[in-house]
Amino acid sequence: MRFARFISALVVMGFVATSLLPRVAHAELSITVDKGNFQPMPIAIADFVGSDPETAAQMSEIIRNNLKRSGIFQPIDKAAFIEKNVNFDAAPNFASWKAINAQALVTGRVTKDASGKLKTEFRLWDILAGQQLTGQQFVTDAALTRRVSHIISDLVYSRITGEKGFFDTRVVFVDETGTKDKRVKRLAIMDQDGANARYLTDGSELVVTPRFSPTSQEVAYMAFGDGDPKVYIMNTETRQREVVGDFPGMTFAPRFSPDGQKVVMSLAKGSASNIYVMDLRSRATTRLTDTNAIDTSPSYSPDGSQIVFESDRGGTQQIYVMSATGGGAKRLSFGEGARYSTPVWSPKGDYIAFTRQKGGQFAIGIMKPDGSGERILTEGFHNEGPTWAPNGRYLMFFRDQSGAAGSRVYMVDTTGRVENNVPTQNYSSDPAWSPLLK
Amino acid sequence: MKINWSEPGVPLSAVIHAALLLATLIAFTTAPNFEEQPESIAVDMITTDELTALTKGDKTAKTVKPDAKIKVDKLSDQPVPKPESGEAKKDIPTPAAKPPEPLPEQKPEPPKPEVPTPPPPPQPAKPEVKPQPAPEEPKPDGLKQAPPPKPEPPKPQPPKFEADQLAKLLDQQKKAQPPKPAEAAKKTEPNFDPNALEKLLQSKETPQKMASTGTELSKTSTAGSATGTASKLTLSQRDQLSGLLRDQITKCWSPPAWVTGADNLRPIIRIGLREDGSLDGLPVAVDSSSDPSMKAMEESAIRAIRQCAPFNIPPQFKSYYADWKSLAVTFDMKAML
Repeated sequence: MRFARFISALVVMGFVATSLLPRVAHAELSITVDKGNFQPMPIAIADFVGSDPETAAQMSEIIRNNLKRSGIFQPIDKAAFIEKNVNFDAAPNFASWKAINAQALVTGRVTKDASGKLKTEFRLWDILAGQQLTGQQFVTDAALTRRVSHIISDLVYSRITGEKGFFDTRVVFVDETGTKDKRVKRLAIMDQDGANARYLTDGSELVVTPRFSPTSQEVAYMAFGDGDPKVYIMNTETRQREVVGDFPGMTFAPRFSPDGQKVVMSLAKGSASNIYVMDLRSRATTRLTDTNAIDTSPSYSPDGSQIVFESDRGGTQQIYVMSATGGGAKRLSFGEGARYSTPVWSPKGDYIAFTRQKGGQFAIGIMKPDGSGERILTEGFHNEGPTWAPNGRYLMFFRDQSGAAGSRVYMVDTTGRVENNVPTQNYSSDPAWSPLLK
Repeated sequence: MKINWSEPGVPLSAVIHAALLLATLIAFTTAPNFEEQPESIAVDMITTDELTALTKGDKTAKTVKPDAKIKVDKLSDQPVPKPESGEAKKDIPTPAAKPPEPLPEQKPEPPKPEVPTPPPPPQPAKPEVKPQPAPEEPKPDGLKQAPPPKPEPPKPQPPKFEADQLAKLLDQQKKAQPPKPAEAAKKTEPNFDPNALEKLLQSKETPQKMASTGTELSKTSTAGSATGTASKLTLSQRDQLSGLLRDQITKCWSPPAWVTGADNLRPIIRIGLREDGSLDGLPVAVDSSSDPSMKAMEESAIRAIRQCAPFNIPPQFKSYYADWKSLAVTFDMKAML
């Protein structure tokens, strides 16, 4: 016992002694740079070479467009290139790329082998350092040029940014045609860049709020068939669909759990709506809230432990968070004179996106999961329905411009600096971003 | 005294205390080095530029020349290598610390072809002569632009000194206070007159030692140590220079705003600079990380530095090269988020 005391005293003295030992001094000049100049990285995407120049050019164009839309890259105009024909098997002439201010260069080659398979190779070069950053090759079905282009875009994006990619994804949305009072709403799916769109439903019934499963190519949505509107799940590849649960009354605002095994949604009863969760395998349902208010738009945290939702239990629509098993909820949003709705937890877990209504304006914003650090990304006449890219760095939403006859889907990054229209043939709303394809 | 081993308290305490005392004695025998710090500035309030000029020039000079140069006569041959870069600086000795230096330095002089002076070169090779009146004229300025100040007149004199000059001086003295003929005769021969020497010593011309005490060099500063503190950047100069560099890097840095947890990522990039401000070697991240977010931060920082190089270093900092040849640049995005 006493011995232990001596030892501990010794240890303490030892600490004191070591803290007094001379420290290594260094004489170099230290500088802290805490400001910068947000600027997209100038990148050159050389036209891919290969036996089929048309396919090759198409692929480089898709990559160019993707990288540009990310806002992180600024593709350099091909006309400025000094080295016109880049030899894919050799290092590029770095000086000539440096001369046009390129910081990175993408080169590639596309060839078809005897069996008709497409072989695509690419390299990403760091011009300033004069070295290759990454390179890869893919052998795929000839019909998959778009996907290969998206995958290459993702590799370039993630190599430079350190974040996961998001180009090889799709978006389900509601395609709107017809006049305002005789609207036809059809579920459609497209590539993340707006290309390759096709319909999933035929327009015979009204569909809203599609939500992608985070683990599969399935979509949950609400459709107004005969009788009460119901939540359905559809496989976007097979187009098979089924109704979720067998509830008396209207179910709406569905969303998958992070593991894709459960669907959480609202069930209306009288003037109140409460949140329920259904296990897709066992079909067991659990009630999570019990109020006379309207609790809706539930969204799981990526670890599945919490659910964020909107409720007017305090008088106005605000955002609350509770345990995934229900119980006491904590209010997160406190914006003055503002109503908050459609909270969506980022797949990365670092933000919750929401729609905010204030002073007649609709904004899309993000906040930290503890309710702090609110940041408005866009605000205007009507913006609604945020959905996260799988890397948690971009959001899509839909926007009605004042006086416009319909809405369009837009994409914005979490800094609010980068905003792009997602081109669709018709009016579009309610986007739902898929996970990365496999 | 008997030691009761079942109750080891007191003896054990004594032993451990003794051991501890011994240990601390050893631990403290090596006094902790003072952290290297910029030299404190004298109480006299002078501007940075004045100080720079002062440390470069002759400390006994009455006025501070804006473009003061080192006063090192023996460097007359050096103007050619000097502009080349750091080499010249390394070669230059600081005589204050090592007076015997003149010898080697002088050897190169005789062959000097450009300077028209050298009629007497062979003679000056004698070391004893040197420390005397010496060629004061060939001050720094004169050295650089050889023609303007004509160093001829003084130069021929010193060599003659041994015989003729001393005689002359003595003659002068004679005239001033006519000595007794007998004494005069005596004096001319033994040629050692303390008064004359004294006069020489009191001559207005600064002894050569002083002429080169202006230490412009960091490599061979006063004590000849590679890290001598003689020409350290002052605190304000340090601030000024780091501010200049920071501004340049800031313009080139496109911070990766998208990076996860960016507010906690603060990569430090170590860079070496050449005297012309260009990069010496590759910028390296200290504690380079494999975490993709940190890597993206580091790479953006390295791109910024590469993009910015060569850095623009104003001429007044050139002489402190040792102080800025290596930089540690911390990149911090927290304030921007």
